[in-house]
Amino acid sequence: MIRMEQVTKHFDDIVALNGVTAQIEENCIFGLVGTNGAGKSTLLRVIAGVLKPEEGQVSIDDVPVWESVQAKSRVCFIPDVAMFFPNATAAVMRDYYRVVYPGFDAARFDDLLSKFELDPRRKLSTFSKGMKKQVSVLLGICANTDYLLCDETFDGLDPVMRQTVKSLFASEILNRKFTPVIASHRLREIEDICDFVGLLHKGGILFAKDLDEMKLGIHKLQCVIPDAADEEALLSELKVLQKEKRGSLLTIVVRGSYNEIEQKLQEKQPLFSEILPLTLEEIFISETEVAGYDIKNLVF
Amino acid sequence: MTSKISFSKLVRAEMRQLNWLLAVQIVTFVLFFPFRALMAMAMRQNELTRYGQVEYSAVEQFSRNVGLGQMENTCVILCAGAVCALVAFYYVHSQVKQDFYHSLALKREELFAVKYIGSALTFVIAYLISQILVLLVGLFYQAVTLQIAGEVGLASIQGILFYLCSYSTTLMAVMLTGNLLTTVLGVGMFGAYLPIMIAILESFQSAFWSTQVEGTFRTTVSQLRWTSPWAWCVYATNRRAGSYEGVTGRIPGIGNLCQLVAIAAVLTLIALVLYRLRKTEAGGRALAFPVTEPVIKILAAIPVSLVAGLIVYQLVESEPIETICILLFGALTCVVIEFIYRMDIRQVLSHKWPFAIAAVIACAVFFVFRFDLTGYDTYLPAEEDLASMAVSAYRSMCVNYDDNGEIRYVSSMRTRLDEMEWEEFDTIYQMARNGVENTKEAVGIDEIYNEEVTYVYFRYHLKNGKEVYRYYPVDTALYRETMNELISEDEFRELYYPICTWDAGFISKISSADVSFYGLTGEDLFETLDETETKDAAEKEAADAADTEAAETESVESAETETGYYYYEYYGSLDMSIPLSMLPELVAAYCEDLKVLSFEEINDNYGQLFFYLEGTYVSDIYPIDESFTNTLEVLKEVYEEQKE
Repeated sequence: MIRMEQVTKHFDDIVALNGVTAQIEENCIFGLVGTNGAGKSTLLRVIAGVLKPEEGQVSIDDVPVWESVQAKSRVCFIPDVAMFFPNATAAVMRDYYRVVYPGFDAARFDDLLSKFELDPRRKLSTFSKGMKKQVSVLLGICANTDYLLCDETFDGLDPVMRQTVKSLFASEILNRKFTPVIASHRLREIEDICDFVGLLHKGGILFAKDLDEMKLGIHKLQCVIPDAADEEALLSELKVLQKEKRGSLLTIVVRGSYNEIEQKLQEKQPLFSEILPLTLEEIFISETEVAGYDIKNLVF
Repeated sequence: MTSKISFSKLVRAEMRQLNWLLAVQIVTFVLFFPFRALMAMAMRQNELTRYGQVEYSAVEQFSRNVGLGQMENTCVILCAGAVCALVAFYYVHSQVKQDFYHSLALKREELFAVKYIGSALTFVIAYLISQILVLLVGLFYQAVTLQIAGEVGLASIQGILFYLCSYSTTLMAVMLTGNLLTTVLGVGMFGAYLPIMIAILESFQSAFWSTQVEGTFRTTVSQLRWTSPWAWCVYATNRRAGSYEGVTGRIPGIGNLCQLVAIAAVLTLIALVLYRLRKTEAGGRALAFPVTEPVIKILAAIPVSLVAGLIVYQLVESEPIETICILLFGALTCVVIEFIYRMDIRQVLSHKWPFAIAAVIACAVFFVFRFDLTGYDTYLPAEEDLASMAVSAYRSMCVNYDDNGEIRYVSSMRTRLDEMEWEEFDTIYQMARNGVENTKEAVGIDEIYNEEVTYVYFRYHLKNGKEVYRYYPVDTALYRETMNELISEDEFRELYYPICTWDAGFISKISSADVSFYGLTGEDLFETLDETETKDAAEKEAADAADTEAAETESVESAETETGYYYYEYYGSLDMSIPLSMLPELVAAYCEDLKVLSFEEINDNYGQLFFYLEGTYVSDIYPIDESFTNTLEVLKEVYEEQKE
C-alpha cells in the first residue's frame, strides 16, 4: 500500500502539494484526477521518488520511498513525456529496461509489441505520439513492478488502444500483484477503469474514495416542489453541493445515499422528482466548485 | 519485485548508450596522437630519402611527438574530460530524463557512479587504443626504446588523471547549474575567473602603483596552477620541480601523480555532494542552487566594473567618469546575468542588491588603488628598522658566480637588487626619502624629459626579514652625487659591477665577447682616441695656467667639434669580436677604468661590452666609451690585429 502523509512540495513560491494525505490500496486501479496544475504529476513524481517533499513522506508498505532502493524497485513511473534514448528502437529500450528493471519480461514485451503492431527495430523518434505512448506503457507493464505510475497515459491513444491498454491493466491485476495509478484530467477514461479515485485541487486532496462508493454517495436531484417553504426545508436538510433553479424546476447535487435523499424528497410531496447518479465528471465539477473552482465564474 | 539492479550490467548498458562518444573520442585521439606521430615520422623518412640526412634520429623524432610534456595532448585530454562530463550528466538539466533516471531503484550516488564510470571508461578505452597505436607507429619506424615505451605508459596514466581532473571540474559546473548555457559559463568561470582576477589586480598594481618594481606582483606559472584544475594540469605537463628529464618530457614523480589523484578525488566528491543536494526540479533553471545567484552576479560584476574603470582611467583620468563607468558596466553585467537567469527581459532589473554590493566593492577596490589609500607609493620604512638597502638604475642583466663557482645570472631588477646588500645605507636612504617626496609631489613630464629626476630602484631589507622593493623618481643631482660617493668605495663598486670580482675560472666560462660602439667605426674611435690623447696633453698644460673649469669646458667643446664624438653625426658602428685569450687582460683593464672613472663617466656612454656565457643564452653587458682608456688600449690592440 502506498501511503502519503502530509506531503507538501513547493516550487519556489508555488505550492504544488499542500499536505496531501491519502493511501492507495494494492490490486486496484487508482485514478488521480484534478484541475490543471492541481499537482497530479508532482504527486506521481513524489511517489516515484523523483521529487523529495519538503514535508511529509510517501511510503510503500511503510518503507519511505525517497532514496530507498527497496521501495523504488516496486514502482515503475511512466511520465507524460517518455524518455527514450536518442536513435533508440523499442528493442534498445527493452534491453535497457531489462537491466534497470530486473523483473522485466522481455518475451512478453516482444509479444505485446507484435500484437500492437509496433516494429521493434524502427527508431522511436519516427513513431507518432500515440505509438510512443504505447511503447512506454508496454515497457511499464512488462517491467513487472507492483505499482505502475502513469501520468496522462491515455493522452494520445486512440479509443481502440485505450480499451486495449485498459484490458491489459485488468489482465495484469488478475494475474499478478499490480496496482496502476493513473493521473489524468480525462475523467471519462478514469471512470471506466478506476476502482478508486483521488481528487486533487490546488495541491490538496479533496477526497480519495472508492469510485462506486463515491457515485452512490452523491446524486443529482431534479424536482418541482410547489411549496417554497418545503423547498427551503429540503435544501436545508440535504447536503447540497450545487444548486440551480430554472422556473419551478430545482436541480441540486447532494451528498447522501439514494434512499436517504428519496425519503426526504418524498416528505416534501414534489410534483415531479427524479434522482440521477452522477458521472465522475459531474462529481468532479461539484466537488471542485465547493472547493472554490467555479466553472461559471471562469466562463462568464 | 525487489531484485537489485546489477551495477556492472548498468555500467555496460550506460556505455552502450555512449558508443557514439567512444567513437568520437577514438577518431579524435587517433588523429591527435598516433596520426600526428605517424606524420612526423613519415616526414622525417621523406626528408631522409630526399636529402640523405635529417636533423633528428628516428628515436629523437618519435620522442619529440609522443609521451610526456606534450601540451597539445594535454589540451585535447582536458577538452575530452569536459565534453564527457557534459554528455554523461546532462540529464540533470532535463526533467524528462530525471523523471526516468531518478525513478529507478538506485541511490543517487549509485547512479552518479554508473554515469561517471560509464563515460570515463569511454575515454580510457579510446585513449589507451590511441596510445597503443602510437607505440605501433614507433615500432614500425623502429623508434621505440624501453624508455620511450615506459614514458608513453606514464603519460597515459598522467593523461587519465588529467581527464579525471577536467571531468570532475566540469561536473561541478554541471551540478551547480541547470542548463547548457550556464554550465558552459560555469566551466569558463572555474577555469578562468581566478586568472582573470589576478590579471586585473596586476594591471591595477602596475597602473596605479608607480613605484612598484617590475615583477613584484607577477604571478608565476607555478602560482597560477592553484587557480584551476586545468591550470594545474597544464603546469604538470611542463613542470620541472620534483621531476627529472625523460626522453619525451619531464617525468612526474609519484607525488605529482598523487596530487592529481587527490585533486580529481576531491572535486568528484564535491560534485557528488552537490548532486545529492541539488533538487530534481532544478533541471532547466539557470542555477541549481538559488543561493548562488546573487553571489555569481556579484563575482561577475566586480571584474567587469574594475576593467571598465581602469580603461576609463587610462583614457580620461576623471574620477566622476570613472565612477559612472564602474557603476554602468557593473549594472550592465548584472542585467545580462539576470537575463541569463530568467530569460525574461522584463525581469532584468529585479534583484538589485547584488548590483549594489558589487558596485560598492568595485568602487572601493578601484579608489583604494586610484588614490593609493594603502600608501604603497609613499612607503618609507623607518631608518632604524632597516638592516640593509640596495640601489640600482636599470641594467638588463647581471652575471656572476656563487660560492661554489656556479654561474649565477639575474635578469630582473628584483634579483639584481637582491645581489646587493649594503649596510652603510645612510646616503641611499636619503636618496629614497627624496624619491618618496618626489612621488608625493607627483613628478611632471617636463622634469623627466629634462632629466631633472632619475628613476632609481631601491630595496629595503628590514630587520624583521621583510624585503620591500620600490622605484622612485630621485633628483638627478642627488642621485649622481650619491652614486659617485658610493662607487668610490671598492666594496660597493664590486657589488654594483660584478665584473670586478670575476676570477680566471669564471672568465674561462665566457664563450665569446664582443664590443659595440654605436655611430662610430673602429677608425673613428681609435683615431679619435689618439687625437684626444695628444690634445688632452696639450690642453692639460694650458689648463695649468688658466682657470680649470673654463679649460675643461673648452676642452670638451673642442674635442666634440674637431673629432665629432657625438655619434649622431656618424653613421655606422663598430662591432668587434674579442679573442678569448684577451679576456683576462680586457677584464683587468676594464676594472682599472672603473676604479678611476666617476659614475657619470661610466654610465653616460654609447658603447657596450658583451660577454656571452658558455652553454647558456645569457650575455652580460657593461658600458664603455672613450673614457675607458685602459680598456680601449686593449681593444685597439685587438682591432689592429684584426685589421691586418
